[in-house]
Formats: sequence, structure tokens, C-alpha cells
Amino acid sequence: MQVVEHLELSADAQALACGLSRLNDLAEKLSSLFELPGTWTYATQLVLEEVFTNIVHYGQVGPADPIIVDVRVEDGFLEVLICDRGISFNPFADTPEPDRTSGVDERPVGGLGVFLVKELVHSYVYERVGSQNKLTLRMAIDS
Amino acid sequence: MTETTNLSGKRLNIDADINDGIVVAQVDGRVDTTTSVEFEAGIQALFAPEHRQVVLDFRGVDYVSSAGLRAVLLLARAAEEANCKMKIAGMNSDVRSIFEVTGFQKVVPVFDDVATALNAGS
Repeated sequence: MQVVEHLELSADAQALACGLSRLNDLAEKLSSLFELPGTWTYATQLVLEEVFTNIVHYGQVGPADPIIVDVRVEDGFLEVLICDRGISFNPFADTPEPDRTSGVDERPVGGLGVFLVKELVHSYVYERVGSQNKLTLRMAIDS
Repeated sequence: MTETTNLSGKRLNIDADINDGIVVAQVDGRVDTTTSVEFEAGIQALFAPEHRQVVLDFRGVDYVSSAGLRAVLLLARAAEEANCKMKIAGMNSDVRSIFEVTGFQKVVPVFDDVATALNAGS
């Protein structure tokens, strides 16, 4: 399997904007490399932003431990592996389904990030391996 | 009117035109984790009892994440409290699909363009 990109991002909240900027650039670079439409770039930037900000805000990752993003290509899919050494947390199992039907008065604030990730990726897998959270996200690139 | 810069070098800009109690706020840029607080503050500053309608012109918004949706929800609540009618017009298809999949058209009325939003009454 071909590794096309490898990023190490600080989990420090002060460096959040810098990390997001690098992820946005990564999505644009991949989009250009595989000649994918703007909609794909938007979806990929959104998925990366939601996952990354969740880890930075709630993961309690140590200051010396980077968040590692590896991108690989396999079978017409882009596989994005995101690893961190924060607290054990499976975003896909440990978050409730958000309210998507009520109006402004009843609508709870938040909870949409993980939902959007689930909507926008082809598949997702969470594993706790030793002291690491490993998220594997697959996105189609053969469109 | 309100301008902020995020570190990716992409700017969020809000430019408001106020005419006879009707506010049309042209928003340009990205509403993400790094700009959503400034977006919320910039729009909230436009809510006032004498402003019956605040229409957000989103033609220039090319990206909204869940942080942006959160800001929109908080703004919709603030608008109600201020007795203003907030509407969003002119979203591109990518942004619109994020609103639709999260059911956000029930949080704030969404229109194809500013003229339609204004004609939909206050």
C-alpha cells in the first residue's frame, strides 16, 4: 500500500489554527493529485477538521505527543489513518445521534461533527491499540 | 464592517448594508473552527430592535463546518430574543447540502438569493 502523505500535528489548542491550515492544504493537494472535484475537497477538509478539533479539544493528548495523520491509497479509496495518544475514546460509539429535526428553540447545541464525518466518509473504523486511538477513514477517489 | 483573519491566510469578511430596518450582511470566506466566534460576534452586533430583518448573503461563503453550524444556531436564538428575523440566502451547493443533512433549514430559513429572502416578508 502506497503512503502518499504523512503529517505530525501538535495537539496543543494554541496550535489548532496551524494544524487546520495544514490539513486544509493536505485536502487540496490530494484533490489536485487525484483530479477530484471541489465537493470532494470540501468534504475532506470538513472530515479532517471535525476529527482533529475533537482530538485537540477533548482528547487530553500530552504536549509532547503529536497527532499523526497518514494517507494511503488502496483499491480506489483514500485511506486516512489518524492516531493520537489521548484518552480512550471511540467517537463513533460514544456519541449520541444528534437531533436533526427540531427547530431553533428545542435544538441542542453541538454534536454534529461526528455525524458529519459518518455522513461524508465511505467507511470508518475505530481501534484502541495500546495507548493509541486509531481512526481509519476511507474516502472514495474514483468518482 | 467586521474582518478577521485565520492562520491559513483565508479571511472571513462581513460587510453589512442597512436600509430602512433591513440588514443585508454579505459574508465572505470560511466559517470554521478558527473563524466561527468572530462570525457569531460580527452578525450578533447587527441584531437590534430597529432591524426587523437580517439577511445573511452567503454567496461568498465557501465552507461551513460544525463550528459554523453551532454559530448559526446560537445566532438564530439571539435573533429571536432581539425580535429580528434572520435568514440565509445564496448558499453554494456544498454549504447547502451540509445545512440539509443536519436539518438546519429548520433552524433558519434558507433562500436561493437575497431578493427572494427579502420578498418572503418579515
